[in-house]
Amino acid sequence: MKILLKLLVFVGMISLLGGKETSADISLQSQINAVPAGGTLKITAGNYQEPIVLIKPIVLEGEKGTVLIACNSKPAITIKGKSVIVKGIQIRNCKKDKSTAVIKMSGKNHHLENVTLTMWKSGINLENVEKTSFRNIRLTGNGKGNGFELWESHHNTFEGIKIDHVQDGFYMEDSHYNTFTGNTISDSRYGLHVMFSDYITAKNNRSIRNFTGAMVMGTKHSVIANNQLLENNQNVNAQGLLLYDVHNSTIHHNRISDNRVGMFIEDASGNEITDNEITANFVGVQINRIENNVLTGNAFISNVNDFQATDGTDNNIQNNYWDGAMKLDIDGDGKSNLPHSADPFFLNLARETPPHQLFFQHPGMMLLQKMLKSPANMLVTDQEPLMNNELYNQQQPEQTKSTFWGICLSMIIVSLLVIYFGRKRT
Amino acid sequence: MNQKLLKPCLMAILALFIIAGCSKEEVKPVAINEDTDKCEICHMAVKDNEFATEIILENGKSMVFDDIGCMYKWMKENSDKKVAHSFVKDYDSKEWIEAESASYVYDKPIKTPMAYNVISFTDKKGAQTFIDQHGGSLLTFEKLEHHSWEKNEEMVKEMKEKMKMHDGHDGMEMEHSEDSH
Repeated sequence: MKILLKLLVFVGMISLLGGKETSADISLQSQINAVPAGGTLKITAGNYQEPIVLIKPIVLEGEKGTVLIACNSKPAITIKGKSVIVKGIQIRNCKKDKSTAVIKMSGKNHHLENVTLTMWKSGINLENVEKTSFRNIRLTGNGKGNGFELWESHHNTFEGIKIDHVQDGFYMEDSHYNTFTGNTISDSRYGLHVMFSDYITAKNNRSIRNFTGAMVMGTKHSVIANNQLLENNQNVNAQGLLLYDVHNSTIHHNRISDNRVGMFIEDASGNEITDNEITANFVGVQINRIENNVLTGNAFISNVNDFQATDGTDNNIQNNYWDGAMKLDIDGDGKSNLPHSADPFFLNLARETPPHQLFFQHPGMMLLQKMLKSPANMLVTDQEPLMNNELYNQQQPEQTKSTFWGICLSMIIVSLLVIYFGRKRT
Repeated sequence: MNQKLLKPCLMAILALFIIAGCSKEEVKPVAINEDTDKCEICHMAVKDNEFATEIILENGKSMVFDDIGCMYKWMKENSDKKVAHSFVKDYDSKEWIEAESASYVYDKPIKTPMAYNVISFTDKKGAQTFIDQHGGSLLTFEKLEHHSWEKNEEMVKEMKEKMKMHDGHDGMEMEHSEDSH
């Protein structure tokens, strides 16, 4: 009996030592409530299982190992008002969690940094949020909810965010003047999903192995530059960059590689699509019904089919480099005198009967296309394709070239020395 | 085979074919494949949810849309194509229903994939229950034909006006309309 009692006491002691769950005696919310406006609350490491609400301008900073577990019908963190700062917190939500998002925000001038989310549904939901910044945030989902959802939220910045396995990395609707820089979205449905939002800036982002790298729909005056949209090819409808109902925007210097369709552009006008590198896609660029766009200085390399188009009017399409084009420069200006056209024959055929897509690049289809040549006014044409890939030349700095020649020269010298000294002397 | 039997047999087979030919074929909507189906108009992936719609043409070709508004946009742009059947989903049960017999609710705060803000119900009762709980206006199939199908146009206009007022300032203040979702 004594042994049993000792054993019980021992087990009790052990359980006390290991009890890290909800380390604070006072609830986290009451600690938050006790902080005056403008104050800071440092949370000690441990697991906290309570949803918290932040409505005052305070700083909430978690020690390394601070974990918030949300298994409630409320979001793990609700932020309202203005100037709330949250740093260094890890949040996990349960499968049974019924809340619509792990973090729900409204108000202005908030800042979130070094926050990690593992979620079953949507990650961070912004409704009427303004001038708020997000930095160094990591979101991992299970393919169901969106990473960030923006509803009527303007002038926010998103920087250094990594998102994977969600529906859409960043989904925004009626949200203007938002900036996305240096973020990475992978293994999701759409990386960046712009809906009816103007003045969006997306620079230096990477979107990899998604159904669509960037789905840009219903926008004006946006800038999409220096992004890498790669390997978006797992789905039958996959593409690197989709521009639908996009107007007066700049699409510049992006690298769009290894996608099913590199760029898909429809119902777009007044855009400047320049200096993009579109390589190793099944279809380089697919264009339907575009007007008054500038498409120059882009390089289309190693795409199975570089150019498919229907119904283009008054576009300035010239001086692109197409490695699949027949080129002939008779006046030596570095520009080909043979225009490069996209015949709408195959696209129209596949639109009427989708199974005809099976004949993509089929020799018989190419023959038919040549025989039933579409009239010149139906063709979308690059009037003066470039003879050389100037984009590639720009990317090759002089130093790299001199190193190349240096290596060549040294190898020649070494070979000559080997021949000179290694030959059999008679 | 006995010549006497051959004739009635042939007649019977012929009659069967005629009867089969006369019977009205019931057209069922094609199930949505979320992995491969995309909206014919906006190119977004179509989810098998309450907003999905479908058209079956007289030549048997079927098309899916992610929003009722996209379906109407397609019909407007392709008025030469003959639509045999159109289907929408019941908002509550997510089951397919004939578009002609459905009741519809339009309200700006209703979030639909392409922001056309129209949802469909099997009957008027379902639509009315939704309106009683959340608000909105009831539309019949006939009224839907004359619906303006604007993508939150008013809201966008309001936004633009506010932007014009404040444009040029880096720290632009922006207010939101009370009725926005």
